Amino acid sequence: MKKRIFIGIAALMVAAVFTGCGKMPNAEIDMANVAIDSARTAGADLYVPEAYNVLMDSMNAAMVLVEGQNSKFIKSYGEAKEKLSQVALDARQVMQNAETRKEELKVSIQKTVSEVTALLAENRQLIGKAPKGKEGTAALQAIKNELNVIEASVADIETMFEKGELLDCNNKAMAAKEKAAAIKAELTQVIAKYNRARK
Amino acid sequence: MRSRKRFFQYFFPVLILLGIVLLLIPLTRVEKVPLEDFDTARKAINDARISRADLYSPENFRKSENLFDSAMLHWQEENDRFILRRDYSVARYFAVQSARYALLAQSNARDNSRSLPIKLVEKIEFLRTRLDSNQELLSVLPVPDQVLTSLSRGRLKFAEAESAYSHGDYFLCEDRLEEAETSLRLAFGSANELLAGYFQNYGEWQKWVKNTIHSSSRENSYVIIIDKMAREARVYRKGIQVHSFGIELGRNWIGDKRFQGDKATPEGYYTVLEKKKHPNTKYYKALLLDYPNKDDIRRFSQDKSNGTLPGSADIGGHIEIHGEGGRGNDWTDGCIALNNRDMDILYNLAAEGARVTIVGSLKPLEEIWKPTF
Repeated sequence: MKKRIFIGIAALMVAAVFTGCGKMPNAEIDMANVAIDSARTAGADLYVPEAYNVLMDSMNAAMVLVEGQNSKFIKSYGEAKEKLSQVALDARQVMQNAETRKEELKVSIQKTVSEVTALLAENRQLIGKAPKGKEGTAALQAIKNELNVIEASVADIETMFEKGELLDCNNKAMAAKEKAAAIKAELTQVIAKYNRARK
Repeated sequence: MRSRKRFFQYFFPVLILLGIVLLLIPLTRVEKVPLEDFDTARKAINDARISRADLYSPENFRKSENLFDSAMLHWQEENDRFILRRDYSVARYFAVQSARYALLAQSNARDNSRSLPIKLVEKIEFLRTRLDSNQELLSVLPVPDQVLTSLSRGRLKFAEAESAYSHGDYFLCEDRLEEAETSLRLAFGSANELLAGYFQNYGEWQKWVKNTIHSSSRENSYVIIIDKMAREARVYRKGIQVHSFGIELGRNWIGDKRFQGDKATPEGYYTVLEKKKHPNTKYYKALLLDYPNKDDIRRFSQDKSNGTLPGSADIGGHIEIHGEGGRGNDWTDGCIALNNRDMDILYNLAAEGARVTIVGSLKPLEEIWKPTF
């Protein structure tokens, strides 16, 4: 009878030890890593840097948790698994947010570029109306130079847009718009002054 | 049979207890796991990342991340060993070093993120001052198209830098400022060269102006001094300035007139040869000057004989101070244009034979141009 009791106790202890040894959450780690990679590929580090930073820290924390359990004799990966699954979920959300931000930027850039293009066309037309011949040639030449530079900038913007360098592209587009608008104002003023002088 | 009973009664429980103790011994090792060091390192890296150490102190930040990865790797390797043979000292060392570099990166990032915007504002102000103070002169300088393009490019890059700064993108701003400075340096360098060469005659101009003003005192007559750089015609009588009018010149206004069609306004002592009114002039009213004078003819002949001017070149003539100006740019073929209201006044003051002295500038170069780059 005693023998059975001892054997039972021993068996229970062994069972307790082995049921405590959970399985390493490799699948969850892989899933979280893949999700983070996708977020990075989507440009999360550039377009939603704060959220991306939180994500990276969560992943590090989860890995410390996993390794902490690996160091233990009796392992329990429950919390780590939960954290890793959350990281994967968050990463997908961060990727989505990055994509949304990119889309917003793309729309904004396209709008600005069309405005710049329209301003350039307007400015070219205004040059046509400006004093021709020797009168104002130098001033108009300088303005034409400015317009050429802005046009070259628009071409750069389009290349950068294709490459997905949206932040720089947006900045460039806004500066080009500002310049083109300033030239329009200048041209309008020059033409008005010229017309006044001719009257 | 009895010994077996004794075994189960005494030795077996002892063996079980021994087994439990043996199993518990490794558990005491758990306390030596470098969990705290890893957490410290992780938090330090996160804080550094929040401070944008990846941008402001990239080397230290990268090092801290690499050290953290190495620490994790060593930890994993030790965890793969038998529990009693694990040694976390190397992993701990890397984790501590990682935290150290992360703190350093964070501290550098804080300093740099504070100093960079200040540095950028200073640079923006520096370039803006150069552009603004020289803007007017730059817009009328007869420089080649490629210089104008360089200037336009510099201005656009400067606008991009300002835009980047306003969005807090300081690194992009820094890049754009560098590009702006490169383009502007090129444009300003060319302008510097042109103006420095031109102002070598400044001493001569001063002498001409002094003599002309002196003659107005001596002869009690109206004299006209044309300051090309300032786009100004001054009228003196008895050595005192009595009028000042805005003027417009030819496109290629820097330098003396050398030949017909060079769009340059001559420099030197001249006199009014003839006063003309519509329809004798198409520019409202005009004061015809005695260009080319003796000096002009001598210089022209010299240029032709030494080959700096082709044999077919003509010296030109018919240089006037006339009306129809006020257009806001340099449009004449070398004449001096005033608006009609001012021309009326000048026409009434200037008699035939009145002295007209045309100089590059009444002010020295350093007062009208900031060449610093």
